[in-house]
Amino acid sequence: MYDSLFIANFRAFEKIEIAPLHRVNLIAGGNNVGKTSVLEAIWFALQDNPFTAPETHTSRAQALFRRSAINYAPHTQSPPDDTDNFWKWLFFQKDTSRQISIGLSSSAAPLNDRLLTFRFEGAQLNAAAGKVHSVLGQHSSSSVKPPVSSPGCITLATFHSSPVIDAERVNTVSVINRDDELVTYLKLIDPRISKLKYLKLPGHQHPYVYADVGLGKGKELIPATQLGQGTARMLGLFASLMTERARVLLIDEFENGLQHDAIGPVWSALGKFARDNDVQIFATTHSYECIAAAHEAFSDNAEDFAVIKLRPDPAQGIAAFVLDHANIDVAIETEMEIR
Amino acid sequence: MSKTSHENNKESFEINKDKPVLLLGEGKDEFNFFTGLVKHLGLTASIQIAQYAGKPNLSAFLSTLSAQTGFPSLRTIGITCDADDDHSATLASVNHSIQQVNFPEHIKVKTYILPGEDKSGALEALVLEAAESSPAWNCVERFTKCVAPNDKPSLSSAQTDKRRMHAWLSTLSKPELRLGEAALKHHIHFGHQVFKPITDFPTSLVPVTKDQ
Repeated sequence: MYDSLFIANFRAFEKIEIAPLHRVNLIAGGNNVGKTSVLEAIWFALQDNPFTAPETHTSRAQALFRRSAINYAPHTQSPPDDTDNFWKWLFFQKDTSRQISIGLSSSAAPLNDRLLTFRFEGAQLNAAAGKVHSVLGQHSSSSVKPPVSSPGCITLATFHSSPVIDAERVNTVSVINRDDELVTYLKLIDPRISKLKYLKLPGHQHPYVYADVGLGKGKELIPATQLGQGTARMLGLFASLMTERARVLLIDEFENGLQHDAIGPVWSALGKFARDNDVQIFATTHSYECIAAAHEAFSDNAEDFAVIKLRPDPAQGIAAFVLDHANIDVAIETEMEIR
Repeated sequence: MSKTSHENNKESFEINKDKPVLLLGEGKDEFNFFTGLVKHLGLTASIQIAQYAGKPNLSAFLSTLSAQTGFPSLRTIGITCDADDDHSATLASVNHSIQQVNFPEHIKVKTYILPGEDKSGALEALVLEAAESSPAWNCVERFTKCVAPNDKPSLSSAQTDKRRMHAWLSTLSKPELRLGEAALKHHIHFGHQVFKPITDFPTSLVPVTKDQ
């Protein structure tokens, strides 16, 4: 688990340190204080080479990041559009004369400290992860030897899963004999679920996931796509985390697509999953309800959860405050605005 | 202390950028009491009232408050707290909580330990002292004496004050009111001399401008 995050000259942050980090970190703050930028920074810091990341990861990054017209092709020369419309905007106040530094520190094995830097040398953007060096638009991936292996990182906001892909993931979870475990987490969101099955029905083109929710006399299985939105979303996510063995989960705008009464159960399930599987979660929110629901969901494991409040500060530009259980408790009790 | 998310649909507390003073009370009763007092003093344009959910939460409240805002327009924070059994220990505890927070230099923090200098007790003690001149006071005293033999074990002085407080509030024209609500609805006579120090406190928090 990472203990602290340091960001310099990246997006809205001239310099900011966020510590201590917790198992589950919910990032709050007003508009344009850099909530999503914190997720972006973490994502970058966890890439061995941000310019030559695997296609799937790059797609996720682009969707997690701002809307962009980038037609990113990792193994071809990067067009000037990319540099002008995306990479330069990563620099604080678009000042490309300064170096971006993003560091994640961990005091606990097996994670190692990670440091990613970006800097322009003339028109050329260079990135370095530890001693690694790569240049945007050049074929440098084969020579990249990351000093430390990065933990898997999954971004939920861009988790464009499909029922077919989910089915394959659930099948993989069965192969590694963890399907009962998957059901345990999903039951925290929908207690009716007692079993998941990977089935290809006669005449169907693809196999899908079906759930036993004790429906009707015949206990007919229902397609997982017909479960509640939170459940279906988490099914794909948990299966993905289990099969990819990701250690970091980034969720932009946690409450999006979730009904208010699903937020608490989803937090409970994610919290248990994170504890059981040593996953660290970073999420952003605009919602007081989301903060209150998470606070309640983690009341028995208060040390696992904190709100990171970002706000403008005359001295620092943007300042970060880590609010622990006692802080959130009193904020809720006194109806203090902490979003 | 936690509430469910469904209970959190109320208007939330934020620092009012137009008011230079934040006056803090221990709980909801104190919030209402000081709201009534500040209205009585005609200082609502300058003073915002808030409550920190009890003495044990003061430290967490102040640090959370600090995260909420950089206090750009705030000039003074007034913190009130019940002395309960030990005035000096309470003062030390409040000062400790203040020291834990790195307030900007432009903010002055002042404290007032209720019911007053070197006295033990709480806000109720002040209100009861003022209530002694009210017509129903004899009834309150007779009631208190009448029920005292049933107390096993005997009530502390603070608990007896709370009993008197409830008894006195029940004699008002709206007997359902709590202490703070009574203050809001003008049932407490802030002009009484016993309130002079606590009345002076909010006034002392308001910064003097050049026009004054």
